[in-house]
Amino acid sequence: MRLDKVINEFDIITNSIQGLNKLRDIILDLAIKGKLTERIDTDEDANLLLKKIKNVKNKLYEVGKIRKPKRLPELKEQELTDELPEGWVWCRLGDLIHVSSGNNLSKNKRVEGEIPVYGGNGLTGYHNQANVNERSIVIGRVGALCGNVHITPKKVWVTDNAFITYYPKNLLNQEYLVWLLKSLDLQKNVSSTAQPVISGKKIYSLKAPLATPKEQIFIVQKIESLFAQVDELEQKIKEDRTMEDRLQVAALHDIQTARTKKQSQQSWQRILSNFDQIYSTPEHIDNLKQAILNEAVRGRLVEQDPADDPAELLLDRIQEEKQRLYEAEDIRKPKKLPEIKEKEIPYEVPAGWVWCRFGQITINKDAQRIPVSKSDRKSMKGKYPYYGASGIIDYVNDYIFEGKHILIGEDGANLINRSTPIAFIASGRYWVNNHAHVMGTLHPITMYWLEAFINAIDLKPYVTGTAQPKLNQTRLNNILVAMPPLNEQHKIVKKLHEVTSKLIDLRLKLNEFNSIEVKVINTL
Amino acid sequence: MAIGNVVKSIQDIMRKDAGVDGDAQRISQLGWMIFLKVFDDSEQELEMMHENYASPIPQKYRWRTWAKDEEGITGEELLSFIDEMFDRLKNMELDENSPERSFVIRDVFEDSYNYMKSGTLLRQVVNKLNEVNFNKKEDRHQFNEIYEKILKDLQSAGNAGEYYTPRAVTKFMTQMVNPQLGETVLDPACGTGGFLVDAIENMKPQTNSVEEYEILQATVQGVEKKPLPHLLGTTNLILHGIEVPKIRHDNTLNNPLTEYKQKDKVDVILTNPPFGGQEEVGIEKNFPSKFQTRETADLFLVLIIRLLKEGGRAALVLPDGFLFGEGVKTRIKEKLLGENNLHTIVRLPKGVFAPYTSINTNLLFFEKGGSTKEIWYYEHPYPEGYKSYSKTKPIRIEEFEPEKKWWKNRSENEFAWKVNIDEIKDREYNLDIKNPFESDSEYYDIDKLLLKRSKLNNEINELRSEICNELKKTLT
Repeated sequence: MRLDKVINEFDIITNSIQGLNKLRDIILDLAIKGKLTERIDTDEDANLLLKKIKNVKNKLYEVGKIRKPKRLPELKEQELTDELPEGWVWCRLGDLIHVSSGNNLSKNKRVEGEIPVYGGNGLTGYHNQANVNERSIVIGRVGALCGNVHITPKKVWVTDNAFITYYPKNLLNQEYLVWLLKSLDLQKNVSSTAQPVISGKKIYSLKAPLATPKEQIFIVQKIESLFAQVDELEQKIKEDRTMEDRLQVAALHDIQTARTKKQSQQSWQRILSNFDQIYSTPEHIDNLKQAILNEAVRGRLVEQDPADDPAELLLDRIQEEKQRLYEAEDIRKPKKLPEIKEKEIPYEVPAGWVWCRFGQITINKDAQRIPVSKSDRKSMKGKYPYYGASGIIDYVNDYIFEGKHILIGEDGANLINRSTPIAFIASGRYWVNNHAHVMGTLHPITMYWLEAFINAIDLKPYVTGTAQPKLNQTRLNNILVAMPPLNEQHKIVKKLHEVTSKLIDLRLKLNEFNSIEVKVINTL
Repeated sequence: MAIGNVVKSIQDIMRKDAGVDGDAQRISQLGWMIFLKVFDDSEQELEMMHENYASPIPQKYRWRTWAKDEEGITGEELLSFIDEMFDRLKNMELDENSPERSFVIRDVFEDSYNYMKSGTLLRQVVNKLNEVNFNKKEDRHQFNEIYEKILKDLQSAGNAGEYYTPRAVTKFMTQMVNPQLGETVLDPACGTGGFLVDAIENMKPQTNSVEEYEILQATVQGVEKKPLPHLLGTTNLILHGIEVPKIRHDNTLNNPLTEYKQKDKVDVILTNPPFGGQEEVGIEKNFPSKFQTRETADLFLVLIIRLLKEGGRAALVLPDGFLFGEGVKTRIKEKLLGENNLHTIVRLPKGVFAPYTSINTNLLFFEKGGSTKEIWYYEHPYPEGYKSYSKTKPIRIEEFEPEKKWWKNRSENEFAWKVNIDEIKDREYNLDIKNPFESDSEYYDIDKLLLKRSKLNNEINELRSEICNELKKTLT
């Protein structure tokens, strides 16, 4: 990993928790290899140090304290990929340390106490006895987090799922050794059986850079101070994320609580002038879109025009037209839908609007749908879109519908989780299966109004079933719809269109940025 | 006549009497009369339960003898009779064989005085009192309420930092401390007995036998230094079924701290110590020098810590001044937090003791032993629409429902937050910590948030450059 690359992409890397974790790895690696500290003239050569350490080991063997130190293979040229600073030397981990497991402590033998117990994954509880009586370096041997390195307090119990690390205390700085062990990423050396386990033998042959004695201390200081800064940065980044969410909530709150036209304008103005501060993730954009839809269906997106014909008249005209079509035998008999009671009305609408039922203002064409199985479609491949509950799912060589229709998903999990819009407009020539309702309207603009409306409101009161959610025709027709005068429908739909395309652009850009971020971090 | 009017009528009658001057004397006058009647009514019950019951009051002085008959003695004859009665009762010769109840009688009459100068009016008052029958449950219940009203009115006569603690507050504190049958409960500044009555009511449902009821009787104790509250407190306990109220007429602070031994220690302490008042010179010498102050409430706290058994529980009312005060207060707080677990502070809004004082008060709950690791704070809000409490709109027990729900299963919310002991030590034991929860308007203020965020971003960028520069150095 090239340091100059890291510095170039520094802002991207330090923008996420993931990136900061990578940064820590990078810092540790640099420090352990002496790249963040300066040479000390009077320091002893690391080669000399290594000899001393090996001597100590041999002496211990002679006295019978440890087994014969295995002869570790000499380091070959190819293994020395990184150049080491002057005075340093490469060695094998086994030259510096030897490990041995702690003592078994089964759960039923454990007694509540004050002595911390270290197991395979680190601190795992408390006991009333210690089997080690000095600060030690413990390496987890067994378990999901094996390879983890800790310094324990003075009195501690180390189980047989962890290693106690032995090394010449007067020749190696304890904290330096811990960082060194951490930088070696011991978990990489896990044997591939069902239970992750680290074998002492395997880790002994890992190559390690040995620093000169005095520099060891400076390395520790450098790591600690840089890590402290990274920790602080992480803390602030987390705070920033929280701030982001709060801005979201505040912006939504602002929009939703605006009572007058003026307040509404002011809140939008505030949001627009600080747009990129408030909306910085794709999810934010989705939230905003939903908020805007909400405003639209409450008549707060555009000004009402008192000169418009009230929507009630429009409703009457639509009923009359449907009756006429029925008499001309173009459509089935319009079903009589239940009266709307006062307490059913979900919210107050502006003057000139009317509440009605979905079935009153649409012409249902479900009877014309023809489902075609996947296998059958194989032989029907063509250029006409084939629609299902969530949109185009295939292309076939024939069509059964022509012209604009509004399609609304009939079933599927999407009805509840709404990962894609439930209502959408199809135009041209196409095929629809029986998982989406198909409706026409008297005026095309109403179709777009209904698309926005259905996508804005909560459909839970109309959807049946939890395992298999379903919105059947009866319930669909019963849905309460707030309808503005025709002119206003035009204005609202137009406005929504403008805003939505801007939002889609923005969302794409943010998605792009996100994937760049991810890419950069992954290549580190 | 409806009971509510009884007291009013009595007070009207007394106003006509030249000898009774002012609210304090009126209440004092009513005090011993109510006591005698209540005592007599309780004796009626005892006579039904114990065949050999003998009254500590000589027959001719018992209420049933001279007061009950509407047409009984009146005028001058009544006046001299009353004087004689007082004389006999307060000078009763008692020894270790005398029934405990006699001591109660003697104590009451030692401190009481007959102010009324007109025997006729006295007879009118007596007759009015007879309209209430304390053995009828509904009457007793209603009378309790009236009695409490009288006790509340006593506040205007108070002048040494003593305030009748609103029932809602005493009830809440008692319920949370939850004294259990068998535990000794003490109020070392019991006043008119509000906490003790609540403790009795809390434990009564746990008594299922005569033996258990007697345990209840023996374990509720109080100390009160002023005669009138002492009398009223005694009466209050009798009204609630305590045959021999254990309220000592004494100043708890008057004894050297060291004289309180293990046998004096109790399981539960509930109290509202007088604050703002100053004790007489010299009383602080009863306390270790580092806690010597003349501020009554502070001395009481040191005393309470001493009087609790290990593991004992206490709840007390203290003003804001204690929370942020320094000097001796700091040392007391250090002791409190170092040797006890002060687990909860409920902060009450202004006006709980209106209209007699508007200072801010707090309810402190702690357990003796161990040490405090963290304190939970709860800010009690005004009910919807209230800007303050008042005589006509006092604090009500229903308002404490949220606290009760939250008590056993605590989490931080709009009203509750916790503070770690380290932070408190950093603040040098200033416990006056405000609710960190932001109100709606602050929470949703976009401009404020943007400002905060841009500050934050500056800090982030600074940190980034620092780290980056460190790394850059290695390239050169």
